[in-house]
Amino acid sequence: MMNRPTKTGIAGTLESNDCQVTVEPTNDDSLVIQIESVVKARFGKQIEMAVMDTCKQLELVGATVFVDDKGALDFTIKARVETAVKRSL
Amino acid sequence: MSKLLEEREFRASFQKQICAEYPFPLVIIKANMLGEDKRSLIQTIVVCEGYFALKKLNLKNILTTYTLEGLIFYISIDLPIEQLKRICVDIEENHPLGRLMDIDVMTVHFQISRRDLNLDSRSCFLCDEVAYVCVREQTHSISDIETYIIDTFKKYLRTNINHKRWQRLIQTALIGELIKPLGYGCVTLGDQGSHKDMDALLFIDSARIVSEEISKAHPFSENFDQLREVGKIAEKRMFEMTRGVNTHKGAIFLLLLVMAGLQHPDPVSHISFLSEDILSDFEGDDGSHGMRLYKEHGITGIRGLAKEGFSDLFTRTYPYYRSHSIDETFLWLIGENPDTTLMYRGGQSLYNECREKAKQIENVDDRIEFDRWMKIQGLSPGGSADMLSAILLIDCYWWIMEETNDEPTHKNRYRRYLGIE
Ligand SMILES: [Zn+2]
Repeated sequence: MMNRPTKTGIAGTLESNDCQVTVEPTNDDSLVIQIESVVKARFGKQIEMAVMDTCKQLELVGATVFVDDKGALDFTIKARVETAVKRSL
Repeated sequence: MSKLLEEREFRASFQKQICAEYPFPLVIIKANMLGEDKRSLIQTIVVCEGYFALKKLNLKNILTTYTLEGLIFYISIDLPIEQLKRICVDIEENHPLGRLMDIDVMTVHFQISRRDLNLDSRSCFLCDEVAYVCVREQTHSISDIETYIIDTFKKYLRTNINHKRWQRLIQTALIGELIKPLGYGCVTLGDQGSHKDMDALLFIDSARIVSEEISKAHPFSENFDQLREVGKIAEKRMFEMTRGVNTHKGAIFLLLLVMAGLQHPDPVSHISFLSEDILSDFEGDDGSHGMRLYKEHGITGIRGLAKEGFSDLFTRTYPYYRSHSIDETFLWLIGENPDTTLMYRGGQSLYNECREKAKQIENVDDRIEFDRWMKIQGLSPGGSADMLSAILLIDCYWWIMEETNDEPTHKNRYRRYLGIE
């Protein structure tokens, strides 16, 4: 079953070792991921992969996922994405 | 979502509420600790030191919470946000426990970072890398990080300046006592117990002043009268600070003598020698609870224990603590240790009932029920809480004076400083 956001969903915080994830609906079936991170130069790709994996598992479509990362570990990023998606449905 | 992540989210909105209510920059003091439950002795001392370092500023409001994230301070301060952030970065970099602190500064719309001030990102405490990178790469083992935290704490207590060392030890003992998971009527970091006029913050403030005063008595370990003089001043300053609430009166007397005793090879006989004439106190009448109980029932209370050199504390209770949790030790004290505060408040029959109940506790439900019962009765085993402080003072002092740095003992014995079991 596909998941499609109907409203904005936000999860997480902007403290060290956490991240804030914002999920917003788009007009089509696309999935856009944007990453801002204090460690973007070194870990931007890895973080994007973690976000992408989670979105795929959740079968998310028609969404923009924006991650503002303050040095979170992958499991935190995944948990925050999951919650933000749930809140956007 | 993990409980910790949930708590963090909840706290973020709590912080916004504070910012909305108090129109000043908000400083949040946490500690850099590991794990899903960060409550511990070290965590608590680290954040309290952060708070003390800020105390001279113009503080407008102070709140604390105590959750799985440990003790956290929220302080509204009337200063420009950039200036405040610089002060906090300076504490993080230069205070002996600063590397273990995590101090954020924010307003309702904005959280200021080191980058905003053109400062470098925080570096890892184990190598020169940026801290974020080591966290992400999990460069260091949990055991290396724990060892660093414990060693940093030990160095802090062990400072070469004698007065400061005793101040830190006593402060750790007085604040450390508050981490007991259940208060059974006493104040803890998360609960006011049976008291309407005191809370954790009052105890923390009082612990600061009391420790500053009584540590001045460290050179007088041979002279009871001089110890008592220092004790009187400490008591006076405590009552001024708390506006008449008795937070640490019993602890002042107890810890002064324990401090003196610890400076001798045989603490029990030294304390007993110092307190030789103490029962002559009862010839006068200072109007205290202890005095009333002596006059009416012949109970010698804390003075009687001092005359025996606190022999029970050193030879039975402290060894018990070494193999039991802080909660078990506290219950043992309530059941075994004569507590005149409790006796005075409750009267003989309620006092006996309370001690019987403490002895019969077996499981978590019993504990919670006993905690509830004590609060309903309005009882508070303050004398036992003082003894808990004394235990922590003994434990910390012997720990920092140990010559050996034998890794396994070091770890097993002091793991409890990083957790509350
Ligand atoms: Zn490192």
